[in-house]
Amino acid sequence: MSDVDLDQRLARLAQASEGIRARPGFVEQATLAALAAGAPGLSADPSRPLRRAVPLAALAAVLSVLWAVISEQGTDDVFAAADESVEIEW
Amino acid sequence: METLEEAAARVARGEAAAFQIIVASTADRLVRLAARLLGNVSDAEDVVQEAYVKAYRALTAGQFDGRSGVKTWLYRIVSHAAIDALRSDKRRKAAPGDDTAEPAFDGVEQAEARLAVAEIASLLEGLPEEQRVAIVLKTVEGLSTPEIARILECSEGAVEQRLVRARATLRARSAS
Repeated sequence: MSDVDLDQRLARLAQASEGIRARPGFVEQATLAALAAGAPGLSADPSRPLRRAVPLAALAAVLSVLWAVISEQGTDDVFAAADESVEIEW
Repeated sequence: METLEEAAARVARGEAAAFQIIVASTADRLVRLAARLLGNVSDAEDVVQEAYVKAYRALTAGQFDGRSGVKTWLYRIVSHAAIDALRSDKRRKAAPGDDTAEPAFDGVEQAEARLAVAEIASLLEGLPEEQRVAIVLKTVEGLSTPEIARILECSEGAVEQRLVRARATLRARSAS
């Protein structure tokens, strides 16, 4: 096939394929898909925001445990001091 | 009548409804381009829808700089999405039993047009994706070399080289 033959064949196919159109309803569907994918708070993968929150949740859990340990130590100190003070008063 | 550039500016300012103007004005042309690149309308619509999602995100994120027109920019997004689809289609065809479903009959003109895009795909099958896209943009879409270079984000020389190689492959194939 020469370049001229190829160009002629592709030109004929270009003409024959001019009738290709988007199916009815495609414009509305494509617009909605684009707006939904671009809207803040909406995601194609609903689990993605949850996955993003996992490290934060883990950090919050560690901080909670630390706070609980420190508070308990503080409470023990207060109780110990209180016991001593009670003993001194007695 | 509002131009595509004006509609794009409105979308960038947060007027989401203006995006439908862009889709309505370009859908037929982009689906036709994608069908000519991919060989069937169903895959073409998937690729074009994906392209609109990318375009909308880029517009709202302020990533469309307006250096090229909106139509050229959309051609670029669709062409790159088609290249990706052609590459994944190669992988898909390697796996058996996953052919594209035959669409319902929707008129003689559409049926003939579907045959024509399938024939384009058959004629260009086996060419590297970049060469295939270059020859479709040049010979089927009728674009100039500078326009193709802007769409494919390469030099005009690279476009010419892809066209020469594609023609050489097709000549050699028909001679054998």
